[in-house]
Amino acid sequence: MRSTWGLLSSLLPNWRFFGDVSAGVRTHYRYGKNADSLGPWQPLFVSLARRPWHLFINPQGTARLLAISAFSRLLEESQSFAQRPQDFASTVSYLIAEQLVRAEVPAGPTQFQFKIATAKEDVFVSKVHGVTP
Amino acid sequence: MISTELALGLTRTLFLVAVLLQSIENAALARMPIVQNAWSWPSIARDAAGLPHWLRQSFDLAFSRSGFFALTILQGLLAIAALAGIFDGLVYPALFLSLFLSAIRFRGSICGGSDSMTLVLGSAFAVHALFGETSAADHWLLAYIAAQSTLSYLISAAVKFRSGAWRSGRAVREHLVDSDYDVPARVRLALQPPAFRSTLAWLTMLFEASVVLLYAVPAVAPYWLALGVFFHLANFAVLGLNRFVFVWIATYPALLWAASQF
Repeated sequence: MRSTWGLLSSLLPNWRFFGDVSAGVRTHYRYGKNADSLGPWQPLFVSLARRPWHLFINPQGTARLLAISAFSRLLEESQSFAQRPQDFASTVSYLIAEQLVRAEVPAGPTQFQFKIATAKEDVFVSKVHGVTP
Repeated sequence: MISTELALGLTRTLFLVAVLLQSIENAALARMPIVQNAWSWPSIARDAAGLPHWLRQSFDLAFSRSGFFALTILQGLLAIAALAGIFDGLVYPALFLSLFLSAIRFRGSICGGSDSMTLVLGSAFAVHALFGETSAADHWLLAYIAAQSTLSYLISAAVKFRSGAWRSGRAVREHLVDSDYDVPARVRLALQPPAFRSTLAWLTMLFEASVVLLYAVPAVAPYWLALGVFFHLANFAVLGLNRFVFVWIATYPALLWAASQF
């Protein structure tokens, strides 16, 4: 029921801009031929060129903000699954994040993993997933 | 001073332009493979499991790939119709519904606070259209929009003032340097000195809190609003928050009107 209310969340304005707990984190991913030989962690989001007309229309930029919100929500929800992490992988938030990362894995590797980390520590580390769902 | 009629007309026009731009972006989002795959409706529909069957079936139809694309086109056409003054009484409730459905499609929000402010304006114009455009209704509409806009700055400032990370300037580093936001490399570099980050944090907090000056010293309103435009343009340049620019500026005629009531 909590997730159903989430669908209506924009009806209740939340003006607490940049007062969230998930500040100071970056999303990383790594991939490889198998779970034991995943490569180095690298940032999931690469820099996009910003042009003056993006002030009016910027679907790529908005898609990125949508993705950042998705990882932020994943991190927030993961805290309530601390006692049963095996269930978390089947939540909508997790599946969205998994798909977002899967789309960035180049052709060739068969396994990937992602994490959310501060400059000092990992705050969320995913399972290792197959590139083919 | 700004008349009620002029404030209402400007707010309405700016809001509809913001919605039109959003609908074009939404249509492009609906066509992106990454968006279609990650936010596939069959997956997100699990969030809607607690809703009545007929509503879930309606969502399944509206949020299929072609259904959502059609919704974004309809949203753009409704904004154009409203700008042209066609179907005035019906177009605003329909526009609000399309905006609300777009937010639901993405689990409550496409772009955070900008969706909330768009819905604040959308709901206000829908109610205004349904209950007749009387002089009293015009006043309530502008007062409501001005109140929400004022609260958006004030609450945001209060949250930051209460945060040690903001008072020390650490939050600027966390949000702009060590984050996934697409902050230009030259800006990340410029934010290296702690003193600059601290200054920026305090300038942000003071600007947001200073919205009360609109009502305490109404004469400063035009200058404050000009600063507000700069603030939102800077947020676009640094964080890429383009949707916030237009929908917040759409509230400015209402803020100017509200300030002139004091």
